[in-house]
Amino acid sequence: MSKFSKGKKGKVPVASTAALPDIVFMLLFFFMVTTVFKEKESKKVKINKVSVAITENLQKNVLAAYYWIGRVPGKLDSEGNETYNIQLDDDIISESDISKYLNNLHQESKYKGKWYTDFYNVFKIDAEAKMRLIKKVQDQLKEAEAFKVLYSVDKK
Amino acid sequence: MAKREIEEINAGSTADIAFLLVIFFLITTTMIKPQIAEERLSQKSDVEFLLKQENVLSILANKEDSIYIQGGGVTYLDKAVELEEIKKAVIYFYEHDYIKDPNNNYIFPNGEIVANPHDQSKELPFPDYINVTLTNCNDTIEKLEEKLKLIEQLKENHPEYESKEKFVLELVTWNKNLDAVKVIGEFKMLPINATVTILTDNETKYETYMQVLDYIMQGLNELRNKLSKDKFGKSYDKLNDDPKDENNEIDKIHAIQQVYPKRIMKQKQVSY
Repeated sequence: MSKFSKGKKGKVPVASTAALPDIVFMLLFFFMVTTVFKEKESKKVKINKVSVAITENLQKNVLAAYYWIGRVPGKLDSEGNETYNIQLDDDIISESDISKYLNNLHQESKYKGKWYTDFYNVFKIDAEAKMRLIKKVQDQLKEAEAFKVLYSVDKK
Repeated sequence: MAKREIEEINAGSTADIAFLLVIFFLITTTMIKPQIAEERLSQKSDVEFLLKQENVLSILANKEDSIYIQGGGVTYLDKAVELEEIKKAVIYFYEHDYIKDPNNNYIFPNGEIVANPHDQSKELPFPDYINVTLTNCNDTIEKLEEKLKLIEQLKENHPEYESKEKFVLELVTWNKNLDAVKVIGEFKMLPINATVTILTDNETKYETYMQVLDYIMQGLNELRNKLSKDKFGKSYDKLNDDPKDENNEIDKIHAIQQVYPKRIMKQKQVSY
């Protein structure tokens, strides 16, 4: 020790960077653990998507309301047919409440001035669903003046 | 025994390795883009333009999910058709050049001859296409602007005078035509009020509806691709649509879309 301290008296010791890898690894693990890919999937209704030939890529993150129209496993109506439920964003909703929901969205500051140009309604609908239900839902959209509709599909 | 010191491993570069890993994952992670098909719901103002029958190509899907086609130069109303026929019907509806021979057959520029499948003796009611050239673009825009001014003046005294909405819409279309003509030259376009409509029964499956929509888009895409290859030497979906790229070809895309516009409407009532 005495050998060392002799010539280097008065000098500031070099800061040790040995801990740097640990810090970076901590950062890496933190992001690895916390990153959850934003996955718009419904847990409440079951959907078989339709596949078509011509599709477009969803360009950017758009302002949107997400709809799922699908079967509820095991739930039958009085005539023994499978029932279809509509999930709007996070909740199961009855079709008559949709325009109310959209009108509330319209009031939010986030959507002000963008409603007619940038607001989309993204539908994910079960292949077997009947057009009656879809027409009812879209009538509600028209009432709330939300005219842009996207259908989520698989590419053939 | 002599004490042997274990040499310390230099860990200075682990930080670099970790950074490299972080950056590698940052760059290579691409999430799968969701695939979508787009549609615009019809507004009230759309409906009043539907005047002439020949300007409407109706595709009907009934509750048994069979397809019927009516109008637009094709009439298969008497029998259900394959989905593939929709594509053909859309192409005929949009296709701009055809000559009629004495037997009422229609000859398309690619040499294909089409007879009226419904009734050989009858003419196919195609919509009247509008010729778009640089001069008539400018003329029409001038006329429309005058007309709008006139309405504006008349409105001061007669508030009930005809609404200018329709002319504003036409002016917008013709301005777009002007842009398109500058990019691709003369073309023929569908009348402004011409449209493809999809009629579905309440019991029609969603899947059928999507298939109809898809086949309409396939027909449209085929036309767009052909035009794009003729004019720009590459297919329509290869055109660069990145707005941040300086060499983007968005004006070309808009021009093609103006020649073959996507006009699809959904009708509510089933009237057959």
